[in-house]
Amino acid sequence: MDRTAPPSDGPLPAAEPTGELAEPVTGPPVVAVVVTRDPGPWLEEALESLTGSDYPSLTVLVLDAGSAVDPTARVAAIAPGAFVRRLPPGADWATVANDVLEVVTGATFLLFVHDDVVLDPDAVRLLVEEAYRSNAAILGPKLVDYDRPEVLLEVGLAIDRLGVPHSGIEPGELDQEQHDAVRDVFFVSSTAMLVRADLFGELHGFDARTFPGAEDLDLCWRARVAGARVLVVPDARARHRRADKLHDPEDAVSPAAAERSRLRALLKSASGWSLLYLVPIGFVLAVVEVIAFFLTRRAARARALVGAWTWNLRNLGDLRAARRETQAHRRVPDVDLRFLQVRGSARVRGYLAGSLHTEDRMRALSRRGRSAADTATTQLRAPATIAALVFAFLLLVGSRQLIFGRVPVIGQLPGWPGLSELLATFTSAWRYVDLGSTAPAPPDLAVFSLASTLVLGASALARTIVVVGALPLGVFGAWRLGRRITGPGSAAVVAALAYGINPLPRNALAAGRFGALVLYALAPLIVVGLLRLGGYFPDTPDRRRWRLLIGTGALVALTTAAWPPALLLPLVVLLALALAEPLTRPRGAARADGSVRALLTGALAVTGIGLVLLLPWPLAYLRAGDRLAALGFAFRVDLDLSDILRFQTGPNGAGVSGWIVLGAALLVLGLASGPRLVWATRAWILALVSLAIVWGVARFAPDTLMPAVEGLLVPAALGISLAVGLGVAAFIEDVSRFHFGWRQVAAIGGAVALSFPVFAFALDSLDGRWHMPGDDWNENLAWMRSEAPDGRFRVLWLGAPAILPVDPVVHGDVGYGITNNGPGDTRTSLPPPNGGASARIGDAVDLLRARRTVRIGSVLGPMGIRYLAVPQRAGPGVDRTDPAPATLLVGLAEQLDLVRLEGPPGLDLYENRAWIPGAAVLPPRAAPRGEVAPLPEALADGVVRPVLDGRRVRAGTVVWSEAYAGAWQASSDGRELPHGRVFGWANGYELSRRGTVSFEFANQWWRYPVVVLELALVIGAWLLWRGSARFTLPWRRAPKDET
Amino acid sequence: MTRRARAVVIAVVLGCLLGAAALDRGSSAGGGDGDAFVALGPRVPEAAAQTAAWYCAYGTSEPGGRADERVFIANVGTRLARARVSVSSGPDRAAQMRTYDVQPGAVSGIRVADILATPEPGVLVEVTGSEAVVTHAVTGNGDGAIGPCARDAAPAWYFAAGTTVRGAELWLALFNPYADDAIVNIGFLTDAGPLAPSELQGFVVPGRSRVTVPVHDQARRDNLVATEVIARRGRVVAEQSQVLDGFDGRRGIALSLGSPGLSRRFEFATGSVSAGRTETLVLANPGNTPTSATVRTRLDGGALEPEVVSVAPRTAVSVDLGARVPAGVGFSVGVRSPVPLIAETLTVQREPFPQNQRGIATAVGERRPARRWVVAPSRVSGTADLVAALNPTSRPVTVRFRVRGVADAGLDAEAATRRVPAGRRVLVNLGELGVAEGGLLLVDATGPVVVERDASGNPRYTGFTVSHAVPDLDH
Repeated sequence: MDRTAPPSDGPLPAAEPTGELAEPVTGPPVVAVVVTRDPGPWLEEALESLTGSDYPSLTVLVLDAGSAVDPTARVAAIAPGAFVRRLPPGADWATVANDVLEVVTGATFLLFVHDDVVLDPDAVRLLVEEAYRSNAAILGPKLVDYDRPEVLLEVGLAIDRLGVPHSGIEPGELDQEQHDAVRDVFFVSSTAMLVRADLFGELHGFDARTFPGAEDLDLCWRARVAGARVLVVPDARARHRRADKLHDPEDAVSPAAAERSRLRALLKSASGWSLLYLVPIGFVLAVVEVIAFFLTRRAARARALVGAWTWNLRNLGDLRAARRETQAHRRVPDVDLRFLQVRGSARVRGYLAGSLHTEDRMRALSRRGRSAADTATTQLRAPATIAALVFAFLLLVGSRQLIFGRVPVIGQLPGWPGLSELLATFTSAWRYVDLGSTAPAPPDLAVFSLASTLVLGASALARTIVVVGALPLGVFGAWRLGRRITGPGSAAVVAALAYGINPLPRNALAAGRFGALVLYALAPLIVVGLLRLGGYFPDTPDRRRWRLLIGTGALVALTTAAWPPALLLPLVVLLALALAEPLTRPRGAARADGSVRALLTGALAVTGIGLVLLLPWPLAYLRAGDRLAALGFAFRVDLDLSDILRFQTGPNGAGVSGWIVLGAALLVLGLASGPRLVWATRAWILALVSLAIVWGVARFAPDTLMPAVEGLLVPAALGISLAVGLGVAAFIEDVSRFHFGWRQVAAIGGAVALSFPVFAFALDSLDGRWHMPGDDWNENLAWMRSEAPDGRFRVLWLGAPAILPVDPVVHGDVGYGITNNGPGDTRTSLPPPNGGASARIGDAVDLLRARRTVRIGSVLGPMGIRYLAVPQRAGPGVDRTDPAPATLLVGLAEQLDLVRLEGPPGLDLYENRAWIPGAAVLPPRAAPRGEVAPLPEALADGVVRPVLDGRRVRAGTVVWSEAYAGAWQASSDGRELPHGRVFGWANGYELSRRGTVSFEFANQWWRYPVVVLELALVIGAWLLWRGSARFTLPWRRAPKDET
Repeated sequence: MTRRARAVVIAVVLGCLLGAAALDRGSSAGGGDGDAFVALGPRVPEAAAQTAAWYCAYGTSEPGGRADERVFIANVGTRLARARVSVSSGPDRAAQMRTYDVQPGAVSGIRVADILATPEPGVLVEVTGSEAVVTHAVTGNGDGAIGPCARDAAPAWYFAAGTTVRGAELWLALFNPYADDAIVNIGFLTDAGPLAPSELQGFVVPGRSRVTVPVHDQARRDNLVATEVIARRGRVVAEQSQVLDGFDGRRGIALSLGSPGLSRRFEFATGSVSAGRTETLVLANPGNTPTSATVRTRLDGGALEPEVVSVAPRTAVSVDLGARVPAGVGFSVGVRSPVPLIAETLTVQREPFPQNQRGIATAVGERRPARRWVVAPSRVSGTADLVAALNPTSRPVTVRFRVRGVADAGLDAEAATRRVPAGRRVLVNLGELGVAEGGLLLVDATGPVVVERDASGNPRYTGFTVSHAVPDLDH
């Protein structure tokens, strides 16, 4: 069909469109709107495709968005009948496109096309025909690559619940007509979009604030909400050159703009009910993504995500108005649009889609060219990548119950209270731990507060992220370390995976060893920092060394806050490398590539920085005395050499496969040569040092209290993993240099054998929680919290130290710990370094386990201990039992003032009938002054009255069962009460007449400047870290040229 | 690195691993004491104990009761002891308490009825400040009995000697000193077979109360009735009292503190057979494995061939110890069995013994030889108050009998020192040694011994009694 002469008002140069279109010959009038700015040479071809269209009623309108050179002449040359309208520069594509609302009347359809799109001659006709046939309002053609038309780019788009686009087209997917069916889609791209003009007007065109990135999504979404259909018509084809200056260049659509536009579209168009859950889920997932992006050093993407939320918050007023208007058009509920959206976990799927398959990714891949796509495809097919993906999958499977359920409170993995409680505890001058202490609060409370803040106060979520994230973070760190040592490629991945499948972190999870878990996660990064400081990686520029020093020191501080023995990690690494030095020094060389001396300086420096960042907390440890439990020394190493070498410290791991990893690590010593053998030697010496510490204690001093063995073995796990990675590197490079022989056979055998530990890892993943219990004692004993209104009380946990859900203090073979007003949380973690009054609890435990009293309740009563909990296993349902010592159980059973309660299976629970509330009034002179342990007989039931807030109590001796401190003050009706020491350790006040009583710690004031100081230290370090490029370490300054 | 360096590295690594493997020897003993022996039974409290509790289960304190009870608190230590005596009469009633100060070396005798008169008194004595030993005595039916109170409540108790023949009453007292209720199963091993009355299964002993079970109403007219008490929940103290009304010529009251466990060995130190005195050993096998127990009767100055006694599962058998022993010869008895069981003697003194020396006595065999024993009160009889020290070991030991000096009276007084050959015993008469009544006797030995008392003719506690002394297991 020939096209009729264009209904033009005449030549176009400098002419303004009249707004009146000529009568169409046949078919409804369509105006093709080409928005352009500084068009390239492709404009002509795009216009030619329009003028060559077989649709008879097509008018071309070119909107020039402020091109430097007026394109009118070029337009006129190709499409003399076209209209050109020039607009001032600066306007974006959507704003310019909306100009049609002003200047076009009488058109039935508007066809928006980019200036780099070449439509097939029949495309417009097919689109219009389908519009009528299907009563659709917005239609899009199939988009293919301009240069390779057989490659599909887009056949309509879907979104997930959070508005992330999903094309469903694989990168480089060939067009084999597999998508050639007209169908409803959620939206079509503005690259080529036929829109019913009346609807476009009704919707007031594009929302300019969703450009760039989501103007098409937003328009289609609003159309969908208004009840209009959006179709893709694959028979109509358009070739897309992806050169449009307004859309396609690298800087045209920044991630920040795209994210904020997408979020705006979501917030506008989703229904109110949908937003109730979409907003929190979207926010949480955004936080997770931000963390992931930061960890993977994609700060721009992270900032984009943060910026999307803040930008929309800043523009809340405008957003609300836009949303009101959108919702005013609503004819269709959200549920009717679900079939056009991607199913499943919306954000996660969106993230995966965004990473692999979305239009964004396609565009990015396209921009980087075909070769980049090929490279990505090749990498995905590489064995190491496949192994990494399998590992990631197993990690997800193995952690699923923790991610989607909860991380139980076991061992030294206490729950995190709310943000306000965390902050209040951290800033309190009095620690309500054991019987109370003035020791500074541990800095991990501040870290937990920060983590909770990042997820808007959802501390449980923050805890889950930290705990579950430790394993992948450790693997990431090992990969970075491995990459430095073995070079990029498979070897580093294998080293990381060997670290990842080591049963150590899984057993740390199963036993609730939080500190060991944190060390596992951060140790590789600390070792990287130390080795760089020691000059073992010569590529480190001097100008970055301050930054490195502070960064590594901060990591040491972070780890030490969670697990005090971690402070020694730099020194362990130093020791290992010093021992390895004679073995690795090249013949005749003064030293190897690294310098033990530099490492010594670096190790001391990072340790010092770590300590400084933790101030004033470490100062309290100067008085640790016999309470090494405060440093985590609370466990006995009950392992034989076989267990130690296989890292079989708990239920995870699978017997013989542990030997295979060890064997593979040993293999490297025979396979490797040159620098790889040097590094293998260092790795092995590091492992041997760590193994020797653990085995030496287990063999020669089994009664010695040590930190959690899972933490002690982390350097060994790291060393052996590196050795395995180096073995792979040697296999790839060194072995090929030898003639075929035992090396090749051994290397192949080693590679095959490594599948066994992977299998063991897979087996451990089956339960979805790495053998952590599904429940915990905290849940079972939650009812205790409802008893707090009867008066403050404490719970004394007793039993085998390995299974207590507290940081245990150990006397003999009995561990104990105190929690307040029910099961504990992280506020009662880490007993104060200086025993002080709290040592009396230990004395009482000694009495009990030696069966030297039948009235332990009377001894513990003044301490406010109301319940004694004796777990026999780490948590409910745990198969493995670790019974409390028999003498303790017998001792408890023969107590006359304890009542055995019906506890959950696996937990013996006693109530102390001689309990005195933490704040109580006793008859005058009933509270003995001086060193009197048991209560006198007068304190029978009914004699003691709790002191409750706002309630009047009778005259008597008021006992405040916190360790005696002069700063504790009690007042009654405005009068300060005389203060003295009762029961030899507690605070007592004489209340001469009936009244209310309140307590106050008078020294709270000094804690605030200390907190400010702590904050200043951290901020100062951060500022130094950020701006430290201009500093160089004194010992690293280049010597001056003496000439 | 050179080949030599590689070899050195491999040697170092493998050397370390193999060296550790050689030294490891699979030893990784933890510090746990899961297998630690948990001492049960009467014993002198250790010096560091803050509070020591004693539980006296059997006795009555109401006027005209069948077993009027008296408690003795003996201060073995060197500091003032403060004893709080609580007498509970049931779960719903508050216990009556009194506090007594006992000087070092002194023995305080307290009539339970003076604190609370009740038919079911459960007596709890808590001692602080010093080490003290608590015994109690019951009188009734023209006889008396004395024995140590229990130091522990236990989940199981066993008795061997008991009879419910015509004219016999067998009372089982269960004392639950704790606040929680205890639930026990009570069963009997009779010569007619095991018996588990349904009303005594899941038997509730309310907290802080004592319950007495008339065994003779459950196991009627059985010549041998061995008793086992197994707690399904909680712990109790079990004591048993045999009462014979003289129908078959035996008359008196006996008191036995049960054994909280079975054992493969028992020792009895005070055997003798004479006109009017008979001594029967009862062996009960509560287990399901038959056993052959070896009974060694060691005559003073002679020996008898060991007697092998077969004890079928869930049965009790008796052995007449006097059958093979010449009249007037003293002896001791040792029982060995490959299967744990319970052994107890029933001793009867009747005519021609004088009236005040007639009676019956039961004693569960001692299974814990010790180097120090406490006899308190030291002397209860003006006529025949014998203390026997048996050396069950294979080496001779020297035994010293000392009377503890009271408060300001100075040092302990040495009463006698005897050398005891292996497998022999020594017998001293406290009256002949000049030991005063109501004092405290310490028996120290250079090796493990078993000390037992055999007393009769006490003017205050009329009759005859046999009981073990209280060992000091920490000495």
